[in-house]
Amino acid sequence: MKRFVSSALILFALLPLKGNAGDTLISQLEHEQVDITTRFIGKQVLLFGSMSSPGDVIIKVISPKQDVAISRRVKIGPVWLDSGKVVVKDTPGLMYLLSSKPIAQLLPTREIDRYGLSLKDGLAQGVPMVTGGAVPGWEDAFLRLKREKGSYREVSDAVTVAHDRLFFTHLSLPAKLPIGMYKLDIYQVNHGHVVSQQTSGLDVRQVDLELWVSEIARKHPWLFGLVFTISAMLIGLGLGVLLRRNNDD
Amino acid sequence: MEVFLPIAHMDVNLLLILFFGGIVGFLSGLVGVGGGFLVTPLLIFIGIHPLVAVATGSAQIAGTSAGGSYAHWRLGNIDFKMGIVLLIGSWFGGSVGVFIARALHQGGQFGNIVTFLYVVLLGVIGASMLIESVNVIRNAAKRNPQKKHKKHGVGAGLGTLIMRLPGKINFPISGLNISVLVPLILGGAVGVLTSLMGVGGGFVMVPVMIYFLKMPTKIVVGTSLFQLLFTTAVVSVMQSGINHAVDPFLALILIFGSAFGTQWGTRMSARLPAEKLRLILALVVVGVAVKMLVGLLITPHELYLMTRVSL
Repeated sequence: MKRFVSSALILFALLPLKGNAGDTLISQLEHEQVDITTRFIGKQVLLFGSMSSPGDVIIKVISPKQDVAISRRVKIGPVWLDSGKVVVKDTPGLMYLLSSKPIAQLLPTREIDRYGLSLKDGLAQGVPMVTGGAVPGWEDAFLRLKREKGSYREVSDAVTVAHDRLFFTHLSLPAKLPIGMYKLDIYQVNHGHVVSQQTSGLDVRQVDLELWVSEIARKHPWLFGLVFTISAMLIGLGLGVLLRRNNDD
Repeated sequence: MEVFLPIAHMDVNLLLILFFGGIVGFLSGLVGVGGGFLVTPLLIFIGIHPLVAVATGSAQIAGTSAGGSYAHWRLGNIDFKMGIVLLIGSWFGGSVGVFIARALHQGGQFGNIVTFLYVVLLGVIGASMLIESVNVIRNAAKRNPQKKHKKHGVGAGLGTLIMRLPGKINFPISGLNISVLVPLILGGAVGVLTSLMGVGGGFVMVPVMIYFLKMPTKIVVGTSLFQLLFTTAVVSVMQSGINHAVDPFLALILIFGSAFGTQWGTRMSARLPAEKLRLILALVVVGVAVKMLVGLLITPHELYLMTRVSL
């Protein structure tokens, strides 16, 4: 990996850079797909790139959207019960903000809001619906729980900038992750402004047996349920017979 | 060793899941409960989505009880006539239960009611079994068997009522001549619980058959497993069809683990005296009830709970 990084950096350093005709940023992902197999235990993906002028870098990574429910426990008499339920539709399952310096130092609040470069933006994208009574304080709880689980992360020294022109970072994908197309927005920031921007995608997909199983389970759920349940019973029965016979001998 | 699950979308430790399966299988073979009330909380505890945990649990129990049923059938422990009548009741009760579950869910009180059901049912059943089996074992130890000791109170009253019901049928294997309504109602009640609590209901069925119907413990274990097999199989198909929530890899690992546990449990059940079997079941049931009760009483570490709605 290190050798790959250094050779990539040298390659970029040798690239003829544009003059002042405009700030440009180019970047490349080490892989454009992440294959989820049975042995998937998380993955690091290298992202590297170059800028035509000095600057800092902010990378926003957003996974496919999910619906989550938030409830709260309240004490009623001696017991703690669930009270209320808020369903937030269409929030990013994962959201990473990776930058070369703390975002608050790089951009004024107005710009941060404009580009959605705070974790709050993940919540703001969602559509909340109160389905089982109000849950006071659910917004804070949402962000706090997402941060605690590591699903929402803001890392202000994740991106390394070298020679004012080159940058790279490692994108750490956990073992439990939403599947689908991830969106990566890469921003070059200079003097409190976004001067250049690029978007790319990372396809986190199931392959082989994984894909086959989940496709069948989704497309033909009843057939899958029937076949799988009968197979489960036969396997259980087969194992029972087999083990019993071994024991009897 | 980690394995990625295609429906649950997360990785789990293969050996840990095999171990969970083993525990559940052991209990299943030993005392005839499916272990749904044990496996579902364990799966949720390691971070599997609750719906996937409940659905996969039922697929696993179908697999496990197939093996267990076979073992008990070989030992001649299944009363098929009783099992089929129970099944008719539990399929009907299960369908009614689905509607009750939906109504409770819309009222937003589903989670609380399910927890209370667990605590009360497991607590009452477990405690009474525990007292009974401890008494039996203590009396046996004193070599002072009080066989003529007549029971009074609710149990005896219910017993008389049961005997007066119309439509008597002979169940020769269980040694019973009772109204067909009894197993039908029992099956129906268990079916409702299956829909509400996501469990096979063995932990309710087994004590009722032992204490109220006075069936022989070994026949109870075999017959309960047979009934569980077909109840959970139907639930598993429905959970796949409606909720897309059965994870085949997870279920298969659990089934493999439990196949070994079941053999061990079944052998042990042939060796252990009936009252000790009941004591083990009672201890497990009480343990789960106490754990859930403690969960209700202690101040939670985290007040807010966030769960994924869409799979």
